[in-house]
Amino acid sequence: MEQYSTAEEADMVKKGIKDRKRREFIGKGVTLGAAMGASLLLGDPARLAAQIMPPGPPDLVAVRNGEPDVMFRKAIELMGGMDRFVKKGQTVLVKPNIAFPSAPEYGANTNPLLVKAVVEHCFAAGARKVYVFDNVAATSAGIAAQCYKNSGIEAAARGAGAIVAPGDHERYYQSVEIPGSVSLRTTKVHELLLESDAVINVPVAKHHGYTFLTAAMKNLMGVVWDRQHYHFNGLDQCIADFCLLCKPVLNVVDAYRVMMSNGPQGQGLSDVALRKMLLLSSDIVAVDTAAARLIERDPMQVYYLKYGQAHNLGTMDLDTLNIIRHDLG
Amino acid sequence: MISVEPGRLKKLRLCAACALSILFLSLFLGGAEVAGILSPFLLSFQAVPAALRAMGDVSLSAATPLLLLLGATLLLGRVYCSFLCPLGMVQDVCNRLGGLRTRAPLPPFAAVRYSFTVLTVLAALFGSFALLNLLDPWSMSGRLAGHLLKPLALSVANLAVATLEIFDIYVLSFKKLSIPPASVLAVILFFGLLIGAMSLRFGRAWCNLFCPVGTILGLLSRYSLLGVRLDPQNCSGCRRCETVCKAGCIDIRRGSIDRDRCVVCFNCLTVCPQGALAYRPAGRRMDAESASRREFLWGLALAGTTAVGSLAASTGLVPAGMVGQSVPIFPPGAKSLKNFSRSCTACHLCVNVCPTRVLVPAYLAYGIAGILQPRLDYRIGHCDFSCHACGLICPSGAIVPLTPAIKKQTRIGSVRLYEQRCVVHLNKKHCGACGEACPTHAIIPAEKGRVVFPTIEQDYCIGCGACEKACPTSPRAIVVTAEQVHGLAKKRLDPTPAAALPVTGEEGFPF
Repeated sequence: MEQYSTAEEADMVKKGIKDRKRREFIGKGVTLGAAMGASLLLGDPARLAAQIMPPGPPDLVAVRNGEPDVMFRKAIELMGGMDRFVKKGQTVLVKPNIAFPSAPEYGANTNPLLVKAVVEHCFAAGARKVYVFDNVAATSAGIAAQCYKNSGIEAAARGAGAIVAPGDHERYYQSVEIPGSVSLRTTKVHELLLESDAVINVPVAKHHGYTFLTAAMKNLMGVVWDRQHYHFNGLDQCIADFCLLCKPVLNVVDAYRVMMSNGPQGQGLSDVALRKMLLLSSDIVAVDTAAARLIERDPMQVYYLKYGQAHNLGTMDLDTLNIIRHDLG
Repeated sequence: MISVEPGRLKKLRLCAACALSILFLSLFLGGAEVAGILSPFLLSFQAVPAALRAMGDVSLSAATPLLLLLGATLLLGRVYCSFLCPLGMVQDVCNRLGGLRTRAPLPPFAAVRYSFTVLTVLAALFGSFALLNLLDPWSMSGRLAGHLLKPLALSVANLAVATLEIFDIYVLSFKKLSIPPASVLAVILFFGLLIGAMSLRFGRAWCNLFCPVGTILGLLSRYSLLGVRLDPQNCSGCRRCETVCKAGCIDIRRGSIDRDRCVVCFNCLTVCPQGALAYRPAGRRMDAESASRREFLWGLALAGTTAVGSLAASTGLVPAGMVGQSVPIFPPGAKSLKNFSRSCTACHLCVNVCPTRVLVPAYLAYGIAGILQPRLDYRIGHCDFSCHACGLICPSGAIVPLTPAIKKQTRIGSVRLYEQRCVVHLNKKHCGACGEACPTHAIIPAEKGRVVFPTIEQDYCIGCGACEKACPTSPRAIVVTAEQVHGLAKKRLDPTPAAALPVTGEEGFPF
């Protein structure tokens, strides 16, 4: 804070700031007018949106009212294109939520059309290999195949050219340390995480009975072997800690069908709302904060968001972010 | 007089046995789906399961396979032993490996097999399956295949899977090997080695010493229409038939074939140069006698005394009502402890096909009367909500197949939360592993202050163990105990029919 020798001086400075702001406002208004006029003349009002926004790609993109793959196409375009996140020749891990052996209409897993679209975009951006897997929620062996099948994700991903790999045996996992963690000192992660150049996190947003929300941050639990360790050592802190190790280049939050209550399994179709939305961001904390609002929860109640922010993984303050909201309908 | 060309019969038996061996291997090694397809065909005519099904479900349809089996025996002799019994096929393979060496006829040992059989049957009627479970040939085959052969096969398969994975080919999955507890393995190995050793040298000696099925079918085949018979007038005494007889039941010196012990393998028919052996009805000429009446009576007397004496001491074999936590958890479809323990012969086919590996062979969990019968172990797995592989496969009616809807409501246990072990209660931090896993929402989240606690609504619990398996504490904070009689849990109803998905009509985004 600057110190002013007199009250007069302080007033002058404040006036100067006000004047500057007024000039900027007028300047922006004139630019806006010119842009509107130009775009009307040129017949391209859509450019208007791009003109008003500050330069650079947005921090978060939210699209609604389309099919999952259509929404993703639009969202990634608004985000600046898939090649911002996937480089030519890379090995990419696309990590959907395949937790339960439920069909897509129950909203318990990521929508298979979305997974398909993400995989296709990875290849279009030049990826050499795309892997898809999840260590499903069931704590016993033998259920993973049904989860992969009933969710439709295995077929969709394979159809798009991804290699769908298993996650249901300890032999695929290796122990790693997590520097900077509070509770989760070490964990066993799937070797594909260690082998991939980039991770694209594709969770489904849904209510969770015990953490209130499961979306991007919690989806990464499916990359570790011993989930019980999280439950034992403070679930919320461990979720946040793991994001120190695993930093997806992009989070694609499926909010097409959203389980609004009785999550994460859901009791039936009455828990599911057809919201037809999609959220896209590299900021894992921000996208989860938006997802929390989507399921009508206070983000402050979702403790792992606070812990994630404390780890500098992102921000919960959406007002500071450059957000593009787009309605396709 | 009907008689069939001898060479063809042996070939027929060999073909049938080969084909069925392949099918049995597929049943034991192929997984739940394959087993489900093959089991009605292969298992309907296994003697002991068929008998138990007939007793459990007193109806003509349930009794038909058993009646057909007994009828076939009365017609054709002990054909089950050579054509249908998987343990017989195992012994024949061992016998071949042993080189089919020259054999002298074996003594009948009638007393031994009648004692064991009478003991087995009487004990079973009084509620103890101790001998039945150990001696039933079908169950023995199931255990040998499931616990010795299958891990071997899986190891080989896993090797193949691991090799394919190097090339990013993930079509098959890596299977977890399940080794039974040491006590169970010891019993299985003991019998496996014993039968292997006996059949290597002595052919079907097991079948005629210890097998209750063989003994009973043997008794019936005394009166069978067709049988292998010796015409002493044409016999030159070369004794070639004795060298190939797997049961050691041809005694040329005395000029007799013991039809009690003949397993109708037709080996002897092809080697007789005089054609003195034939598979035919009794001729008008005097055929050589079966095992002497005297032997039979002595055997019965000995059996009777042993039986009475053992039963006097066997009150310990009958399980007293099992109380409290010591009652093992048994699969849905078993209906009650009594029904399960009195129908299960511990073939372990259910253990074999269980996808979560929650079904494990137990040693004495059900007492000696239920030796080797399986139970659910929630430290290893849980009973998957949508699965009923065990019920679809059980050949004896110990686990009855339930419709999916009924199975999802069948209560096999009840749950209890021990708050003094629960991390949420102790540390005031979120866990919810149990609540996440519960398929019937019998555990619901209850917010108290800043923390969500798991709360049990007992009416909806089906005792599947998903919570206990998921619980991260040791000893578990949430534990399921067995229901001795399986009732039905309440079901939470989904008020919204499939078509009416709520569509939120709001504008914009809520952030």
